[in-house]
Amino acid sequence: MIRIRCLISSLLLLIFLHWTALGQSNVWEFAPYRVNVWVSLSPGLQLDSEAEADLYQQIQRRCEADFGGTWNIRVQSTPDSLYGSVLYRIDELSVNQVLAREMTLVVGKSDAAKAKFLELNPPPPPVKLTPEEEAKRKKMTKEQIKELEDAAARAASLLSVRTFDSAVERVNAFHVLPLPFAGLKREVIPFESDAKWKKFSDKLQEFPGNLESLKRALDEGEIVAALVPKTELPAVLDVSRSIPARLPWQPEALLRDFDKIYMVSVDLVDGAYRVRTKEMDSLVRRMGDLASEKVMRPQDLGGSIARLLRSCFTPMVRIEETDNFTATMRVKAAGLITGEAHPAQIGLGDVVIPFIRRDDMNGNPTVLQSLPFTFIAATEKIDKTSLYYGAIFAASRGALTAAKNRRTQRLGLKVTTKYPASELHLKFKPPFGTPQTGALKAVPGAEVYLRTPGSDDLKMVGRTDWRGVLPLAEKELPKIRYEIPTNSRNPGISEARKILSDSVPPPEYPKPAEPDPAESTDGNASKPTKPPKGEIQINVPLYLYYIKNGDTLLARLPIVTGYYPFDEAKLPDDRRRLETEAFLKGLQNEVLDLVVRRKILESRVNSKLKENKVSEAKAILEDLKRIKNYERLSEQIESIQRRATDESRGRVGPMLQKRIDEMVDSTRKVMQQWLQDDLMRDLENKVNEAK
Amino acid sequence: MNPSLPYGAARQATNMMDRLMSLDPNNAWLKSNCPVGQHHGDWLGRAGQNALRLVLIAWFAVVLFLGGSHAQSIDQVLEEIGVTGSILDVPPFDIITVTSEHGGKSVQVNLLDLPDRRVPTSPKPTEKLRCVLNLFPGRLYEIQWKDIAKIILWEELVLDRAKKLLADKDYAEAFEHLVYLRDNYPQSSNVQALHQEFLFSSARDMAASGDLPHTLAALEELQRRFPNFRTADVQTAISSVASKLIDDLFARNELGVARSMILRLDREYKGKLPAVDKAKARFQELAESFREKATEYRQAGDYGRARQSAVRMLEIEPDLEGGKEFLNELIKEFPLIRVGVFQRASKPDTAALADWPAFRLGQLTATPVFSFRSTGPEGGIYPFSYGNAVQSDDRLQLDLTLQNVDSPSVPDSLFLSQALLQRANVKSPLYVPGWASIFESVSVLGPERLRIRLRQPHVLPQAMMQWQLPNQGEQSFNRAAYQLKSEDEERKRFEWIGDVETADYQPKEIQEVYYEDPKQAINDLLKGELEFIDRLFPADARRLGGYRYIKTEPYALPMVHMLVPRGKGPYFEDREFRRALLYAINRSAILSDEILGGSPSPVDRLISGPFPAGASETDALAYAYNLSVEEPPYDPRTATVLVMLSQANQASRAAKKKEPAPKLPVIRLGVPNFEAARVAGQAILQAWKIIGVDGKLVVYDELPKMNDDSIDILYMSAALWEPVTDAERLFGVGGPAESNNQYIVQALGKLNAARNWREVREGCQDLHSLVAAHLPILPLWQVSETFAYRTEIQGVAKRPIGLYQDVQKWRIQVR
Repeated sequence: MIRIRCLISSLLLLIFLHWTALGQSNVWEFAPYRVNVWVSLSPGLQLDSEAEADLYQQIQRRCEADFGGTWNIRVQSTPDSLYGSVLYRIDELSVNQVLAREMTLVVGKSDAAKAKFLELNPPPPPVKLTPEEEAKRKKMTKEQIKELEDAAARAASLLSVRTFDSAVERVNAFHVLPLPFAGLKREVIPFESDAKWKKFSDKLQEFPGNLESLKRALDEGEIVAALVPKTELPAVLDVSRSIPARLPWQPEALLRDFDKIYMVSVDLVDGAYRVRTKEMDSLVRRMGDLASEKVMRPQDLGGSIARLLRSCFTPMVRIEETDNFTATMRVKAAGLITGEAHPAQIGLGDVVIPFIRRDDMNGNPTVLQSLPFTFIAATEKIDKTSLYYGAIFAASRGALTAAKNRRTQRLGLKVTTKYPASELHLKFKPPFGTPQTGALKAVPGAEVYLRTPGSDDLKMVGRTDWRGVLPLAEKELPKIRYEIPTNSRNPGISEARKILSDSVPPPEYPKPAEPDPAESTDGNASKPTKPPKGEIQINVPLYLYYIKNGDTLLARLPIVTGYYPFDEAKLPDDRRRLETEAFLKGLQNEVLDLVVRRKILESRVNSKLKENKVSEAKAILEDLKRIKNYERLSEQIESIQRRATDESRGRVGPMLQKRIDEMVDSTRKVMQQWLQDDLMRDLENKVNEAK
Repeated sequence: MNPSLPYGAARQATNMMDRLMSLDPNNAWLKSNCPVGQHHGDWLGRAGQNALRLVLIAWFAVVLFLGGSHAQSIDQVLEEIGVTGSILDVPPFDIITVTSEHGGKSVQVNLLDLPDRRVPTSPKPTEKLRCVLNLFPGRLYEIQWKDIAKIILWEELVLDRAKKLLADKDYAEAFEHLVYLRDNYPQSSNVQALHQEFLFSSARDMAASGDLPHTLAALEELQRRFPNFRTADVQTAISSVASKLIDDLFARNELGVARSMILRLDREYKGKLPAVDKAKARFQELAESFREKATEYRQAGDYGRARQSAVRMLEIEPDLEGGKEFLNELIKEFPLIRVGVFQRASKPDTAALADWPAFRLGQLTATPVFSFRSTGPEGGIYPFSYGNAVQSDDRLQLDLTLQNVDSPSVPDSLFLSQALLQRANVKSPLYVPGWASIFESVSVLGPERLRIRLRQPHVLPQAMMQWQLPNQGEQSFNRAAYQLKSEDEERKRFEWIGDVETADYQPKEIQEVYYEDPKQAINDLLKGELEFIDRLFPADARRLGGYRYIKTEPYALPMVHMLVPRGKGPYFEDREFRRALLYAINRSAILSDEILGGSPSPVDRLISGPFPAGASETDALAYAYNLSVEEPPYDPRTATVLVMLSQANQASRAAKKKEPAPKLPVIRLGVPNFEAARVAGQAILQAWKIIGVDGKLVVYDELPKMNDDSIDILYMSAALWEPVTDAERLFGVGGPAESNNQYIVQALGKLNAARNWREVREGCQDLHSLVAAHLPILPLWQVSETFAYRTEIQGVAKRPIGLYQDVQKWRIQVR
């Protein structure tokens, strides 16, 4: 009976979980982007509040027209703490800079601060014990009594203030430096209808001094608590401790409540209205590129801003299943998209760049990782609405697969090219066994080759300059070849179409090339033929760049030309190996020459002996003795090896040591095969016999 | 065997010979060819007497055997004895003709031992003449004079043949016979007569055919050897021919030659030739006309042409009254120097690596911020053109102090700093990657001082600053003493623009005159129409060194010659093919025989890498040269095998791609337009032909750009005098031998990062070693270049690095 109950419970739980999961995916493809637009208007525009509100409405209306149901938009003035930054420095504003405007609550931790707290919040007078309590107390040991007293003292102490709510309740004032004070007072106003925030607002006090004096005041107990900008927190942490404070108007909170935040700056430049916008993606905490234009009339501002917002907008996918080559991706708000040209659309041939977000138990991101040199190209539709197969092109395979768990989200942002060209910047990783300190060294002179994804073509692009930089300018949209998803070992991928009711049939794949009959007669019939591949033209210039150092491939980097102004890759420092390879290759050339020369001289000696010209044969034999022999070459190779593994020139890691040993061994084998023989002795014997 | 001879006679003669030989089986006296008389004696005895008798019988038998002969001409006799063609081609012989009683035949004998080689006029008939028949060289025969009808001596034969040749007007052959007789039989009286006849006839015939120089030579020889031979006629003829010849030389404007000839004739014939007097008057007249021309040019301010005319004037008539003074006045009034060059310069560049004319022009007309002056114990010496430069001990800073900043030709520190920044800015058109890689920042410490900071210590940052400052608006910072005034196809004119007036006899103008033909340039130098010739062919330099009034001076530093493969075909990227090309070249022979003409100096030598080896191991220039690298061998056999190997590799690669195998290329070898390079280029092509690789020569005036596909392999002579920085300029991006070889690129990077001289040497020597192994260039040799100048030019630097080093010290000494 119990067993049956357990079974039923488990079944119910499974059904619930499945429903939840289904519900989530439904939400993802049918939930609109939650969009917040911050607008910073230059005072020079002289727009009154009515005109400002009108502008906001215009933006809202136009965006709703553009995006329809895919956007749930709110347009508002930029929060005070960021207003100036957005207006004047929007071009260099980063996510960290935005988050750095957060105010953090700190309370003093010095004895003076604690004393001050007690002074301001005196502990309640001792409670008169009831007879029962008195009797109970008498039964206690001294330790128990002491513990009770300590607990009472702790409850009255500053140390007991551990949450924001507690602080609002018990701390008499929150001191704020003059500059952020005004903004804070203004920002809290909309929330004062709530008693908590009203109380908080009432307790805000301007601190008449700078950060140094505020720190001193905290330390000396003149003040008990303060709100300091997040960037200044380290400066006061040795005299205070921070208490998490989520002020609902602050960026961090906004990032939780919105998917996309757009910053808009409008100012006057040379008599024209300059409009600049930037997208900040909340989920992956990524700041987009700046878009800008100028308009001549104020009534055009709304249209201009909406246009720029559309151009800044980056559609998003959720990556659901992956193997090394293929992913399934679900397009956000795809169910709300109307028409193929919709700005939120991600279609076949589009490419996304993946991000991994790992949250803590509270849903706060602990890891936000953009996978370098990894792209996914949408290759096939799985269903009619939102699900796609994508071909993965990555510098290292498996990064996406490894990142799969419950609290990890794998997301992708659509890639569009914004720059006319890109630059590849190559840097050396720190040498083996040394910590990474300071700037990384550039990789000069690395050979860079280009390959169309999935093809066998390879052409040299160039070589990095002394800065380790190579301009990339390949802009042609390539036709790529990809692994057919139904061949995947991951059933979540191979069977994806089967579990859907509105699945889309796969495209017709190009037929694999007929095997060459000539080759099969050469005994290559048993050679495994390459599996067939799909083919699709993609919408951005995504190519694979191979970085070579001599005979060694250092990296394989998928890059979309024009997506980033520059792509930086860190490569292992391979210079020592290459140097050794250079000398060994030279030696190998010499070995070949020697083999040829020895053979020629040998045949000449034999020919002279046949003609019975012994003295001439002897003279040629002397020539043969003068050319380098195995022993001399051995000395050379040993010298190269000694130099390669000389620790005084830097540590030699085990990998490097192994590679050097392999190269030396292979050269030595060639020498042994061709030069370590009895040629000289045999010829000498022949000559002596002929005498 | 004479077919008319009855078989029985031959048989008889043979039998007799056999009997004769059987008398003395050892036959020693015949074999030793001893005179018969020595064997006359008692010891000869009866047997000996009998033997001699038998010899006489044998003689006639032989004559009988050879066939009879009657009274004949020499030609008939020669024909009879079977001598045809040139008789000088056979060993000397005489001919004896026996009397008709004995058949009248002639036989060829070894030269007869006659007193004074004269046939006795009346020998005793019974006396015997001893001789050795050419047919039987081991036997001595005797013949009585009475049996001899005629003896024709060898010299008579030659003389007779010479006369016939003369009659046939075959002067060359006749002269050969004549010389033979003169040298070997001078006592023969007929030889003198023949010589006279020869000279006279040949002169007459050559005059008739219009060969005046040889006619004159023949007549003069006749006059000299036989002064009494028709003296008046001969002198008249000489005068007439000389007159015509002078007219001809005048017409061809070879006045110097004409003048030398007239002077010689005047000296030798002491006024006896009327043509000489006439010509002298004509010279005088012509010289005067050139003086007039020179005067006109001088008045028109065209001192170049005035000087040319004046030189011509003195060339025609050196003793023209007031002529020398006139020229000296001209020189003093407008000192001018003309330099013969074989390559035109396109732009001035004092740091030109493989462009000698640009380097030369740069020295004359450009002011680089730093300029290479000479080699020192640690790299080159680079003076700062606008003041002083001091490098910090840690080699991380370079402090520049500008002097005379108030002068319009000196930039202020701000302008200089901007120029330095521009060259480090990747977006600037003046961007120089090598400079940017070491440059960190520049601080202006005042109007006269600035400090350059480097990213890393560098041994010679100055070497990276051998470029000219741009103009600042109208203001130029060029402090060179000369600037280009005008140019045409033939010459470039540079005028003095120094801060002060030129000193007396200091050149106000320098002209570079372009020559295609080195011989013409040398002639003009010898005549005085040029004062300098730059970059002489080594053999010419040696020849010119023999002239008293010409001086040759080698340049201080050698040029490194190399081949740079630039072809795009698969073979040029193939290591085996490159090595084959190198091994096929007999570099040693080409250098010593073709270029140097067999007299190498210590600095002229083969090299195994890209850097100069200097004159010795201790030469400061040789710091980059890796002595442990062996010189590539000359081994055409190995080269042939490597070519075959390369072909096989290419065929296999092509087969993999299902393409036809590429054919061996016909290599287009680009050589700079100067003689040594052209000669070497031809020799290299011949060497490659031996291993089955064809090629053709493409001569270039200006160093071809990297994308120029008209050349597969470039012959280059490069001034790699500062290997630490020149390596990058040679092999780096944009260099004339830009290499994509990863090993070379890394070695270059290592060299560029060198922080001290130890690392520089190590880096250079590693690079040398890798270049020798991977052959991005094929190293050939280093050669010191030479220039020549007339001794009237004073102040020319000893062993300068370029022609115009210390040009401000040049002065023209008047004659």
